Amino acid sequence: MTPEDLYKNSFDGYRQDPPPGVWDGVNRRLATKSFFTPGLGHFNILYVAAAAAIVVAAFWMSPGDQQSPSTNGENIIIADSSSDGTRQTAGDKVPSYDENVGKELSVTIPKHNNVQHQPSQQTENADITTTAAIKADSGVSVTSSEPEIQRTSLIESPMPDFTSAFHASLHQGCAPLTIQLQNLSQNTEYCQWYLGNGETTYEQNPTITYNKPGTYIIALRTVSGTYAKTSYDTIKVSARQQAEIAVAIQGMTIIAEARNVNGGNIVWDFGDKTQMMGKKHSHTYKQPGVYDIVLTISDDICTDTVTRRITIKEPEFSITFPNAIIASRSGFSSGDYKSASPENKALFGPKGNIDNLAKYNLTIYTRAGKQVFQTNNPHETWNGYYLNELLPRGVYVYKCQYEFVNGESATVNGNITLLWE
Amino acid sequence: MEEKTLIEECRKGSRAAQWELYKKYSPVLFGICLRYSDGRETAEDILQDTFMKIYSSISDYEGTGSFEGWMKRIAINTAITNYHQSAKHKHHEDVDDYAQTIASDDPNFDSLEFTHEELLGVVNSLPDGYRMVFNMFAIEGFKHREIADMLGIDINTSKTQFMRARNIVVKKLNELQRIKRH
Repeated sequence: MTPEDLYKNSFDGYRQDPPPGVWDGVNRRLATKSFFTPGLGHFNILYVAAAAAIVVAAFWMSPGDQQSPSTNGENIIIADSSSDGTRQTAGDKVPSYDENVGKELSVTIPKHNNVQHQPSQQTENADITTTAAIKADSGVSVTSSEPEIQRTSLIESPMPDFTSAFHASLHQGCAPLTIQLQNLSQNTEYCQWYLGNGETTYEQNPTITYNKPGTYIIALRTVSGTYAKTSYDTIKVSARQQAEIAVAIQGMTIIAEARNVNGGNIVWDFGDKTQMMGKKHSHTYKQPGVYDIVLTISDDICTDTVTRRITIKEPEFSITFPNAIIASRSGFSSGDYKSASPENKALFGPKGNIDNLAKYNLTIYTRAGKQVFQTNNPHETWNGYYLNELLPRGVYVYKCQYEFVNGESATVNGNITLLWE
Repeated sequence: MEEKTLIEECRKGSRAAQWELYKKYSPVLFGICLRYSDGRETAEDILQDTFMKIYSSISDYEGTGSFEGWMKRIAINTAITNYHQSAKHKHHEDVDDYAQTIASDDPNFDSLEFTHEELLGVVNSLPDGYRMVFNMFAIEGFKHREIADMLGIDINTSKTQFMRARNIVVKKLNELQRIKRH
């Protein structure tokens, strides 16, 4: 085929997985663009400006000896006051699928002995005002240069000494992924697990199976009195690939294609120490034999392997000639070539693996030694005619020299009996 | 997610939908970028720019015609922009070295004989302008008039560059074939 056709066919629907860094770049640029696009629905420069304005205003309006509460954009830690008591909850936004992969969210609240007491002029009705220092450890949630956030709230009793903590047996794996959760919380009244897939449980050490791929955020909420603390962890579940190998074998060359592949790196091992990457390949074996093609598809978490055994047969390097032809008495003219076929008894030419011929020369003589046919094209056959005349019936002699692409060569001589139809 | 919903969510700026779209179409678009570039690094840059353009102009997509086709066209346009911005190609405008080797007979290649990597390697090695024209004419099937408009060149330049690109491609494929057969 022409180079145009070759390229058009090869690259029609051609797919190649880009490296992960490309999405990182796109993601960064989207985040930057979003940050500088003002709007209400997402975190952007307006929020920062508004937060800065509030801080400045609070600074100017508050008396010198009073410490004012500070806010921190959308990621503030909220102290939620209600009529039946005060509870601490972490007000972090739920991370989106891509931003927080692999990151761990955690909120720690200092123990009771870290709590400072100080009087406040604004809270006349309260017995005690407690300022709790809350530290946000997550790389995602802290946007201020000042990680320690001072927050004032009204409570009626000191915070009891209790913790929320847990350990997950695995943080990533292929679906279905089963993990064991171990509750490490201390001095709690009760604990509630939010498993990230919509389920909740009050079991102490639950075991959970995630059947679908995705990123799940597990939260453990521990309660003591009117206080609650929550700790988080993230589990990433990847899809298991169910790829198949499709192979077409043509002589010593195969075309192998990976089907049902959803992303990931595709690596082929053709069983002859040749490795290639990409979805579709043609590969030519140097030796006949039985080969195991191994297809490995891997993403950050899952690796799947599919094997297919193929047999590559030795190509034939031989041709044969018929010993007689029955010439047609009409309908031919000199130079009218037709490919030789075993069925067509009217034509003289080679049979066998003629496509593997590199050199070829066939000459046909009368018994008196007069040349009546000559060709270098193995597809060109002799029909029993010479100069538009059907030759007399009888025996003719042929001589053929040929060489195959593998270097094998031979010279054959033989007789052809020419019969008439 | 269905394509219509995906497009709608991307219009709203949902990062999850943008990621879905990227996951689904980046391999096809990367395949195009690889052809139009001189190597993987440039192809990655073009792909990144392509997706930024897709996300910012997805509201312009009218829903008529293939969405994938629309994105492919953006990838090609981005590659053209990249070609214009790259100063490199200016030095290659007058590469005539290969033009003399005019193929005497119509070449005949077997697609089984070359891997994608080898075919890409040949296209990647073409001078920038030749590569653009070769891709647009031979693979995308644009007419020389359209190519001339898009690249801002004369129609005859497009034709000449294509013939020269083709000659280089034929020469290199022949070389490859010879190496592989021996």
